[in-house]
Amino acid sequence: MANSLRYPKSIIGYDTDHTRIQVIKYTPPGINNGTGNGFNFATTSSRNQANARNILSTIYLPIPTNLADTNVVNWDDSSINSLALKAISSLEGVIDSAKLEALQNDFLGTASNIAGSASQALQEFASGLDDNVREQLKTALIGEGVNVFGANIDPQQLISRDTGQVLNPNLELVFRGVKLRNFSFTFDLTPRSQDEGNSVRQIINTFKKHMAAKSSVGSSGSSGIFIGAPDIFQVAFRRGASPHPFLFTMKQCALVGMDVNYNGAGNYVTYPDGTPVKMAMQLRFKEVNPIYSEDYDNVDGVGY
Amino acid sequence: MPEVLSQSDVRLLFGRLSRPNYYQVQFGGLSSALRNHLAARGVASSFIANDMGLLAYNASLPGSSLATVESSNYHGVVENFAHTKIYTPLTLSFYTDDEYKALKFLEHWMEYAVGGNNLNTRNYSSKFYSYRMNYPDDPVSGYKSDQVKIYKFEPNIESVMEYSFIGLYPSAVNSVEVSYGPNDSVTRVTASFKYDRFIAGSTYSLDFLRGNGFGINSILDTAEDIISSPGQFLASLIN
Repeated sequence: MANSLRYPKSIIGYDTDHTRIQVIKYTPPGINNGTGNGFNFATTSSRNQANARNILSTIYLPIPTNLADTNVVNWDDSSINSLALKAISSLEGVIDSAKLEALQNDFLGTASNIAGSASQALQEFASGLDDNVREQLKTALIGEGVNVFGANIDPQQLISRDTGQVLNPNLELVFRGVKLRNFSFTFDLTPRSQDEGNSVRQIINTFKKHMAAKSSVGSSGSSGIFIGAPDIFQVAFRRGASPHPFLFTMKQCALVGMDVNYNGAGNYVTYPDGTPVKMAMQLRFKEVNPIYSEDYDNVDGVGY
Repeated sequence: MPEVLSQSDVRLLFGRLSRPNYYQVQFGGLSSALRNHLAARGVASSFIANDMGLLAYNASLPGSSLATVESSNYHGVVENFAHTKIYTPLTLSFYTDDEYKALKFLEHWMEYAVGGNNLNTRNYSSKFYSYRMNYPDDPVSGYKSDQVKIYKFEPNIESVMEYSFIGLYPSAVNSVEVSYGPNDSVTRVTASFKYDRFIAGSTYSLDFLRGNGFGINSILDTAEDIISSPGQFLASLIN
């Protein structure tokens, strides 16, 4: 049975806002994709849904002193000039006409054909340009050519210097992917009794133990070849026995860092059993899976 | 519109103003280890419960304030929102008896708070003694008290305003002035007490039992209700 630890011992009640952190055995996502032709690979979170009852330990703490979430999506500048766009669309037809089977049967011959077609497509593209554009293209090519001799000339600068124009970069922000969220929570720990001091000691020990990698994995024969992943954590903000009605929800997290300051009082001072009077425990979590829009369908409050 | 009032209209109100010299301080709720520590230094539990409060010749009813945050959602207007209740330390001044029990009570209470290393051994007087704290809220050895009260009442004791302090302990004892001079002055000591919070109003009054909480009803009122009409009192609890 999973053990349960709580700090403070006496305050967290049925209507108290608090933080619940469950320690869960890490299940790797695996490398098999979904059934049929789908590409929905299993994630650590989805794997762990089946093990949701396999909780190694549960820790109840107050709401951290710093409470913030940061949702980030990766967007980045993208620029491509009109000439390049035109060239790309000309080459698209060449690529479309190439058959995968032909490449498999006669790679060199097919590659040569593609190169010939591409050359022809580019010639047709160049012949369609007006004189002004062709002149600028020539200037840019001269710049590139001179760079062979180490001149370090920017073709764009050369065109600008020559004609006072630059190639339209068609600058746009484009989606580049998702990012994993990071969280940093700090808890002030000031034990009020020996019982609470014991709780604090066990809580710190539990976090340290379960965030550490496991060296003794595998059978006796393979022991020492691999090390096992640490356990992961499910952090939830709750009111009594229910999810918090407002605060954010978190997916399962790895505890990537933990800092404990045992001199929170400003100097070293302890109780008779050696428990420091004030400690500050900072936990740095990183979610194991990114957040998707569909995740918000089944959560209350502000969502993830 | 202002109301035109005669002297007789306000006499009843202003004739019943509260006087500041009727109050009582009561100490209690000390842990058994703290009581033993004080008793070993000549401060008996009976002195703490009965006499120490009476020696408090000057007390301040506790003050508090609300911390606020500002918002300027409406341009040109600054709104204030309360978010935390802040309690100011309690200051009490005591006459010192000729056995210095009042002084000892305060000094040894503070000594106990930082006396986690055994105070009963000769180590305490050693030059190399080091301090450890005692746990504040340990049921056996804690140094905080939840049963210190200040009662404010009037000569006829018809109404009582009760202040109950939770997590109280002495945080500072001011230096005690002693000097040559006339023989009619008394040694006095002033101490500051820190606490987690206080409850204004009777904690065990009828209001408390009915869930109205923390009103300004006195224990005496409640007791009187019970004595005069127990049936009605029970009915009020049920309703």
